[in-house]
Amino acid sequence: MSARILRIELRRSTAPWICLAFAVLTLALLYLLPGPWAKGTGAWDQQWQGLVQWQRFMLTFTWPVVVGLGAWQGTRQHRSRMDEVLSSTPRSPWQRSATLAAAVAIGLTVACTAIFAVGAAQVASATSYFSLSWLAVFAVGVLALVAGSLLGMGLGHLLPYMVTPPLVAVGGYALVMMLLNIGISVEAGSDPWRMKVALLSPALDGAESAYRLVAHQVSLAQALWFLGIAATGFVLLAARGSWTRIASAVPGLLGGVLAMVLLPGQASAAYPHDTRAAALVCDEDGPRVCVTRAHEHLLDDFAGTAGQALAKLAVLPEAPTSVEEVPAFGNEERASLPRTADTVSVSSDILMRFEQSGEGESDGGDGLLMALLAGAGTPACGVEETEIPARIVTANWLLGAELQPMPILYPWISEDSSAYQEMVRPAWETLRSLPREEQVRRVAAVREAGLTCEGDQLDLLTQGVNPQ
Amino acid sequence: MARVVGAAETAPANHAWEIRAEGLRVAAGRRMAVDGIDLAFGTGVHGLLGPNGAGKTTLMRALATVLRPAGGGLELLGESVRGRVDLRRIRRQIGYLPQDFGFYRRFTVREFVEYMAWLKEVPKSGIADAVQHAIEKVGLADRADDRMKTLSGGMARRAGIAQAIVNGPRVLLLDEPTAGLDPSQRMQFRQLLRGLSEDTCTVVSTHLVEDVATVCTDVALVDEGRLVFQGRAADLAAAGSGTDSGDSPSERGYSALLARHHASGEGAR
Repeated sequence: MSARILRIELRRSTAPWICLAFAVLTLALLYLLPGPWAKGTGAWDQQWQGLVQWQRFMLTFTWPVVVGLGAWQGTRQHRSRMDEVLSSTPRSPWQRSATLAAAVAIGLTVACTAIFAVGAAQVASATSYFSLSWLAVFAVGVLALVAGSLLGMGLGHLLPYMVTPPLVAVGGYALVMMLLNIGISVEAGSDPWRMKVALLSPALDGAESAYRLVAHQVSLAQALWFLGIAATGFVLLAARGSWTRIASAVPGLLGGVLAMVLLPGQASAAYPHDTRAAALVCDEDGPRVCVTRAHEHLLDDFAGTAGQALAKLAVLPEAPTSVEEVPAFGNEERASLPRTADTVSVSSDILMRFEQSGEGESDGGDGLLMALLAGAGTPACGVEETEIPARIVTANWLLGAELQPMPILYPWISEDSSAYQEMVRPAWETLRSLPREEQVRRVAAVREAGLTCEGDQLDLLTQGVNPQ
Repeated sequence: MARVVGAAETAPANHAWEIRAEGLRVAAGRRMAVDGIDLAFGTGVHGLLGPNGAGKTTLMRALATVLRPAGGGLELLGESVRGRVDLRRIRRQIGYLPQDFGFYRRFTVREFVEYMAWLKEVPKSGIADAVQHAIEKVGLADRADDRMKTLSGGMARRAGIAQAIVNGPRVLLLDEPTAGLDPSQRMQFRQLLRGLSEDTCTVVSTHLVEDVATVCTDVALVDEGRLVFQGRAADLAAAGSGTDSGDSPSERGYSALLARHHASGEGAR
């Protein structure tokens, strides 16, 4: 391959336009559209794994564009009426095609890296947790794009008509959307072939949380699949004879078969828990305060707030002595959260929201403190509707200030809302009218109910007992 | 600027004719467009004349190794191109401007000619010089760094000639190079053709008799896939008489030869 010719192709082929379109489209989607990629612990600007996984998710929308633009590039030779003069030259069409393919591949790699760099600048300041688990996911993403553009180029060369590029792009969309729908319909215990087929998509599920990985087995199988597709596209681009064109299907089919054998059949195996990111890191200086390794950078600030919460809770009998972050893997039931008497659990999502509302700002810290005190330091059970007013009242009582809403957990319950007026305020006033010992007893009873998820917490507050 | 001379160019020729066809038959689709032609072209400029549809372009495509002969013999530079032979060695020494010359519009003239030089396997070290030389020769030096799409029709065709000569070919095939050119451009083209290397076998296909009469050393006239006449340009003019149609001696000779060919063809039937 000639470096000079490669440079000409890099400048004059559609390579720079494919890359520009891809990068701009991806970044526009990430920045301008509100979506799950900007939320939660695994957001694209929060964790390295999240960044790469959401970048892969965006291929749902961008991959067909790249395939379509590749098809446009593939029609170039015919469009420019170059077939005749090229077929009189000695250099093999394989070398000619390889130079073009290399130009597009280099461009796409640069574009992917640029998008990654934009995200990395944000992630680097958002987290201190780093592992290289994302590398394979990223590399397979680049490979999927290169394979897609090559397939497009091959199809464009095979069918050099004006309608080919748009048809190829629309076909690409249909394919990706179909695989996405199959993926969405997969449930635990459903036919493993569904999951396997869904994983043939260039796009991956976005990172629901900071504690999910993509299995290396998935990356390996997808790498084989996309290598096969790339080979098929390249042969189509370079081939002259019809037999070679027919044979071009072989590597793609082979890659597909290998991938189907290797891919895991269950979502839990394809996207396993990241136990390393979820492992707890504790501050043992004062009371024990632990966060997951993914949020280690929050520990110092959080330890202060957690210490205050424990001090407030100390007025209750059998008060908890430590605070732990509970990693939300994204698929658990609320009632299954750990409920231990000596530990206050805080979900990763709450911790994140505290960070995003601005650590150090009084709002964020106070909000988090209230969230820790809600239900007298117990996680929500999510069973009874009346639980929420009880949680707001107990948090306020422990905080020891005037009654105020709790927007960090329950943004829909404002001071004007009927729930606030009809349940929160009356319960607050009833509780405050009682003798101090009775107040403590009732709040402790709410805590007891929160730890077992039995009984009506609001009744316990207002009446002291559960009507049997 | 000194031109890089390849080893193949300085090697002594071991063949009498650069192009030699015997009973050559070439199919264009289902039709046998070239149907038994005997030809021999050495160095010099050869005009390939004939009415539209005579089989000129099909013959040129066969000479350019784009089409494989369906029958008969074809030797280029002393090597047969029939059967499963490696054409690379021959192709390195061919320059070809197709009738429907296309190009990559976003390339600059220099990039385009350089790209073609690479495809023709011009040695890497000689490419830059060969490209510059070819561009200067067709008079596009001042447009060398402009995009191909900005060139006028005549300039684009000159760029087409530049790509054809960039490898210093020993067989140069120009199919209808003056089509679509205005009179002054055609004059420029003839000038250019005279300036091309003398040790090249140049074949210019055209249906314009005047193009041939002024620059070609030698003329071949084809009609209906067969060779009607081969000889010097002067012989073409001599073949006609005052009674034949045409505005110049060459044109009258051309009409006379074609008329005779038609008559003999009908007589044979």
